[in-house]
Amino acid sequence: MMPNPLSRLRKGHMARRGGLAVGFLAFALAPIFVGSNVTTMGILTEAVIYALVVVSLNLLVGFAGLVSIGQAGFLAVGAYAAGYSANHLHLALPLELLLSGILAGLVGFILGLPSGRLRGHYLVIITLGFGLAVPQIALEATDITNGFTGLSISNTQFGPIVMNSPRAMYYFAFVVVAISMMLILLALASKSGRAIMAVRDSEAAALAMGIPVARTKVIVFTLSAFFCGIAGDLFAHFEGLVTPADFTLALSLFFLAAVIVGGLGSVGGSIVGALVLVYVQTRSASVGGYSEFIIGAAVVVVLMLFPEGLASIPALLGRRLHLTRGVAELPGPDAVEPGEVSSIIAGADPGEHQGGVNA
Amino acid sequence: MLELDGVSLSFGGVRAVNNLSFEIPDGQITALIGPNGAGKTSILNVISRFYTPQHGRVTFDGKDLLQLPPSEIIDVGIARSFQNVALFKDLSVVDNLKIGTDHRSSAGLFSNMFRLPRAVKHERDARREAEEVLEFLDIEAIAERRSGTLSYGHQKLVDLGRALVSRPKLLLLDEPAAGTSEGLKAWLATKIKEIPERFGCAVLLIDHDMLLVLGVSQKVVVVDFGSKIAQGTPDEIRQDRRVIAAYLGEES
Amino acid sequence: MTLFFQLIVSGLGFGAVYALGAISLTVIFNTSNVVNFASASLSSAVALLMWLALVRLHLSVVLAWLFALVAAMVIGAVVEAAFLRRVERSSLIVQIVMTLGLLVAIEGLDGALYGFNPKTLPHVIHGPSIAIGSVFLDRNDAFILGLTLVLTLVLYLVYQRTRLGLALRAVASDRDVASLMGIQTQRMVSLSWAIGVLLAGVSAILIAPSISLTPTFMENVAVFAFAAAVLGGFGSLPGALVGGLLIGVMSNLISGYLSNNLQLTFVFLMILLVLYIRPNGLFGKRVMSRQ
Repeated sequence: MMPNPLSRLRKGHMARRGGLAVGFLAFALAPIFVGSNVTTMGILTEAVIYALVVVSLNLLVGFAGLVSIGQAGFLAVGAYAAGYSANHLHLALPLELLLSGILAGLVGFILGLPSGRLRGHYLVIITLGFGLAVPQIALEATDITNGFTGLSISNTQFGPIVMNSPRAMYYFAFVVVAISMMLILLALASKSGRAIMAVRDSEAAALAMGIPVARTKVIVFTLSAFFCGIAGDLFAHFEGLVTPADFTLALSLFFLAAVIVGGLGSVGGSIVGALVLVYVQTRSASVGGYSEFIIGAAVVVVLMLFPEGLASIPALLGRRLHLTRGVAELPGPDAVEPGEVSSIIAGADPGEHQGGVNA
Repeated sequence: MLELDGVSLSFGGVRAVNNLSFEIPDGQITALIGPNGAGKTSILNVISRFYTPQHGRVTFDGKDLLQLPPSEIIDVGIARSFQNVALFKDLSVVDNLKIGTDHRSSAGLFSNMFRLPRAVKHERDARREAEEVLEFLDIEAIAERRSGTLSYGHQKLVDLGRALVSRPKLLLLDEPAAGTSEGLKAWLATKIKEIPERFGCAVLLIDHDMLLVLGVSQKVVVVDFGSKIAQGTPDEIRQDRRVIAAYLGEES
Repeated sequence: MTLFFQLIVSGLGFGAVYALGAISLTVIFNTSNVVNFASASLSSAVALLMWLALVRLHLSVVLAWLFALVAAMVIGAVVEAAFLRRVERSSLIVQIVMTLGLLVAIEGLDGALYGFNPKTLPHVIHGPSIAIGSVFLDRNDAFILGLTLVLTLVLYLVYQRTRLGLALRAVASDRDVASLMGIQTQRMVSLSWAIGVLLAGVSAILIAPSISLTPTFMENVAVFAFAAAVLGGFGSLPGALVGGLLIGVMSNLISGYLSNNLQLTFVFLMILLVLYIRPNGLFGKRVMSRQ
């Protein structure tokens, strides 16, 4: 039997799966190397939570081609939902996470409704308005949000386990984020994910292939907001206090920058992007207050180097280091010698019609 | 099976299709030919529901197509290729083809995310069917390539394959060979000829390459300025004075 | 009822500022097809330069204005030539993200250079309010409104009556055709960025005395300007003017009757509603697209 050429080409998937496994292990074992340093543990926890936000944003920007600069708004919805349920509803942790996700998802659904009909920049303006409106609403809706003072969450408890150490908090966030990412990856590698990317690449072809374009965009918005809401729930437990001032436009833009630096349409890249940007932020003092400038400049530089979009700094480094396979030109039908060709068009007389009819 | 009856379409005063009627018979290759700008692609876009005609009826197996949104046309069994290839350029070739099968899966986001049995089954079926079509078109070797990086000829084949894998009853091909090499054109002609029997569907082929069209089709409809000027078998069309005049008038 | 009219009148000053911002966005969008999301940072930068000239370098008012306006035009042209031109042929996402990246970078740069502490710029005009019947129009607001109307009129006349305006409009309607007609399209795009940043910069200098001047102080103003441009249909100068004044008045009514904090929320809900009902804006033309 001939070896199936497809099996050879599945190696790419294997490599990607290997990368995932290595990343998973690295995050799972990180606390061992960090030791008991509280600050580093905190930075790591923040990075893990932000990684989920950045991946959720990449669903919109990279996978669906819908630019949003209101992601901090979804984070806020999730965080306030967490604070409210922890203080008033006393839900079990998994239920609380689900509720935060669903509430944020609902908001994403409403926000996504016009997205099917709008040109790209209008959508950006809507998400901008949304991102700025959420903290204002939080200031006003004092019954739920406790206004300016903020909502505090005393302890994070799952059954008998109380997560009162930075390490426990880290593992809690890590597990939730890992499960969320797994679900996102599974969704992307299915009919649903293909539909999302198809709409990004060609709306006309997507319609012709039976993909309801407008509905798909609303679904992506909902999905993105759902996972961002879950990250918001983690954020609330991690910070212990949720205030309107936590959810600025700068934060939303920071998430977008992480998407760009990590690469549009790359889940792994988004994780790296989140890590890099959390690092730059924590190093703010040592770069003389230039961290925000560095973040913005990184975005500009990436786009100037890759005006076609879908590349990233990690990808570029990979190519430099020959980590990614070069794509060899494969022989195809262009190279195929036409064998039994002339008999096909036997009915027609080539000389006569080609000259006159199809000049 | 497909019937256009008195279809007229205009864009702000410009008539693109003018009182056009024709029928596509089951299991055959019907060609729609005419000079550049004759309105061929507009007709295809009417059938795909990208355009809504101001007058006329379009029915498929007795069903009124004009009642359907464009995204449901594939469900009644009509798939299409695009003149200037509209591939999902950042997806691999095999994923492009899988999308051709996706309309048949009832698995929603939840099933897909949690890999419920019907999602798993669909993924398996989609892969298998995609591989069959890849093999038919002799492009298994590029299955995992990002489709946007392919040569134009390869892209045309993937575009054709994506429509084919949806198992349509009617396949609409918009200049499947345009812009490709002579060798590929000829090879494509053999493949298109095989389609009705192998995939059990009718084909509506648009092209202005008379050689290709007359070689593969059983029925030819000739349009110019949006109107039908002739209809018949390839042999009849070859003799038709109006056809020759239209072509020579347009292209000389 | 007096309160109602008073709120309307005192919303006009801010409305004029939003209108200038919206016109700036429109001028840039028309020629380059880019929505300038960096607008807030660029106009803040101009206001900070004004502060530098006036407060730090003690230049005379006229010289300081001259300096700021020239700097604004240079900034606009340079940003276009150095960054936007590079992604001219890129997808919409890349162009949008480029302006957002510039927003973060320029705000960050200004933050590092000037610090984030609020600074003060003096009002251009001082004096008692002008009484119109039972309501009062702030003298500075009146100046802002007047200047905005004059600038809009001048710009409108330039667009409609001069060769330069014709060239700008030609580039706006079809860049390739304009280029075939012998118009130097690249120069027109640069020019529109220069004019755009000039207008946004003027709006920032005018509004800075009323709110505190920081590298990010124009963000909220810019949102209202975007809303105004959306209402105006993104493309027409009169539409942007009307949209800006409308938003200014409306948000002042909201803060007067409801809450100071919810201005932005209501404006956001309004544009969401408007876009849901009319995807091309309130005054926007329906664009027929052929696939």
